[in-house]
Amino acid sequence: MDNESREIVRLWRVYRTIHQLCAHRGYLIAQNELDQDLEKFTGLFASHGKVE
Amino acid sequence: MERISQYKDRNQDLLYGATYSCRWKKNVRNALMFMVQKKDDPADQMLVFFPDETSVGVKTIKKYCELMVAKSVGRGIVIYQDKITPMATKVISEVSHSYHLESFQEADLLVNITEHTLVPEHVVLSSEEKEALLKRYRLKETQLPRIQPSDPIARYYGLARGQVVKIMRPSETSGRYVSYRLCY
Repeated sequence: MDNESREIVRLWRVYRTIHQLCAHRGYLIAQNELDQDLEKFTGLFASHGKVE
Repeated sequence: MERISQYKDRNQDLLYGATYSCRWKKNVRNALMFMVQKKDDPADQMLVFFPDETSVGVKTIKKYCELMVAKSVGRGIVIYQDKITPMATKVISEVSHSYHLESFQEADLLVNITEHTLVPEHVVLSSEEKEALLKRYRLKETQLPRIQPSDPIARYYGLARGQVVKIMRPSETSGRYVSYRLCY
């Protein structure tokens, strides 16, 4: 696994946890945000398959 | 004359095109920023920031504060990649009376600590529930066991001073053991 895809995975995990945190604190979070898998995340935020 | 201006335009296009693509690459984390609102009170909003800088300084924090003022959002979370400067931490605590900013390191959020097997279930009590609890056991606030605000779970739930968490642990003898802790 190269550095770039590792970075995407890292960001995706952080993004997922922070959404769970917001949901736990009583904020309104859509279910599809909580279920977001790696492919969807990559498609949304790193469409070129690259971060940085 | 016309030709010169044409060249100028083209050059500008090139220039802006270059900076634009550069910015796109740099601003990946910034694009992750999002805003949420409370289920029961839509006016209670929170912004989550993902700074691009590896070391977050005062300048970035000030920028976020201005954004929070502009959007009239009272709370915010900054997720820094690696480091946050001591000055920036100081600024966060200085402005905490008007904007409640919290900071988390990326590495701390890679896994959700509340899902760990050794972490019991925590439930934050509302102020009415807290009053009922204190009344039922005829307790003063100070007689409850405590939890530090810097405790990872307290930080996860954003506990403020004076809030109470209900902790439910599995127990071999009684099925489950409930305790309460006050954040001080």
